[in-house]
Amino acid sequence: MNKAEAVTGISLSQWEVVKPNDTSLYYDCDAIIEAYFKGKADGLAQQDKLSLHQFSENFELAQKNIIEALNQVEKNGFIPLGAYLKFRSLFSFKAILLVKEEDFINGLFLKNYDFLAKFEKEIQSDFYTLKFSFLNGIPDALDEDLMSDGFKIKFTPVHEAEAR
Amino acid sequence: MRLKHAEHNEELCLIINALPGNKYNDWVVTTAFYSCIHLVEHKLFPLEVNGKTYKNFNSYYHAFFVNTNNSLSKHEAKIELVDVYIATVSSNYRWLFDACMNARYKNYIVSDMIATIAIQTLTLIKKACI
Repeated sequence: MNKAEAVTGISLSQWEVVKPNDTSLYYDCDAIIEAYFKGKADGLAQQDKLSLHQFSENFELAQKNIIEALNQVEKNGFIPLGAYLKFRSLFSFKAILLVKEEDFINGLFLKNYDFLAKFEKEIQSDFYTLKFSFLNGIPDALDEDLMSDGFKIKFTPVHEAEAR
Repeated sequence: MRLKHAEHNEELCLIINALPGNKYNDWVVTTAFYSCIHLVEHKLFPLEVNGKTYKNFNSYYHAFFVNTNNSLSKHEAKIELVDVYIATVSSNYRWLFDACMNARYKNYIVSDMIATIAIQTLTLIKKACI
């Protein structure tokens, strides 16, 4: 069982969630997110502990939802190359799904947007929003720019992760 | 006013696209998208929601997305509106948004094909909005 599978509880035969080794890279000056990744809830006030719990739930859900979206892209006949996740707040997340340019310019690719529009509505709650976008490009070549823009969590196909 | 701004940006889009060498595909995509932004606002507003009329996008956005847990960006809020009220071009609008906004992650290197599709998308969205 890989780390992502342990977190989400779902079968992840295709995707591994790759997180930076340096835990300070997970968060953007947010004490709650920092506490989550450092596993230090003790020092938080009661209200912050509730927020930590909410963030923890949301983060697990976001990982599960991104993998669901990647799988749906594949079911639609296109090859997902990877994904990145950004925390915009404790409640709001943004994902970028990477695809090949030949897929992105295919007219049939638009059906992925039809799926995402419905999917985003289905998964949204008062305390959780995940928005998706597509980017045509090669994952590793884009790491630096995406990471510097806050997309710190990377989803890599398992066969590539094993090859490293 | 929105329509004039849309046409202003569309004009620039077509001028850039006609330049020799396809050197400015990133700007073709950007101006196509920023024309579409105004086209959909022209189509959407004034908008009545729950018995209240919103004259423009900013008043709508302020009413529904400022100071909420799930605050969306203005672009995302507009994407949701297009999905509900101009559904026939919803996926096209979103494709163009991604082509425009995510170009920065590829050093603004945009292929001829993406620029061509961007202009086709602009034409499609214009037809749906005026």
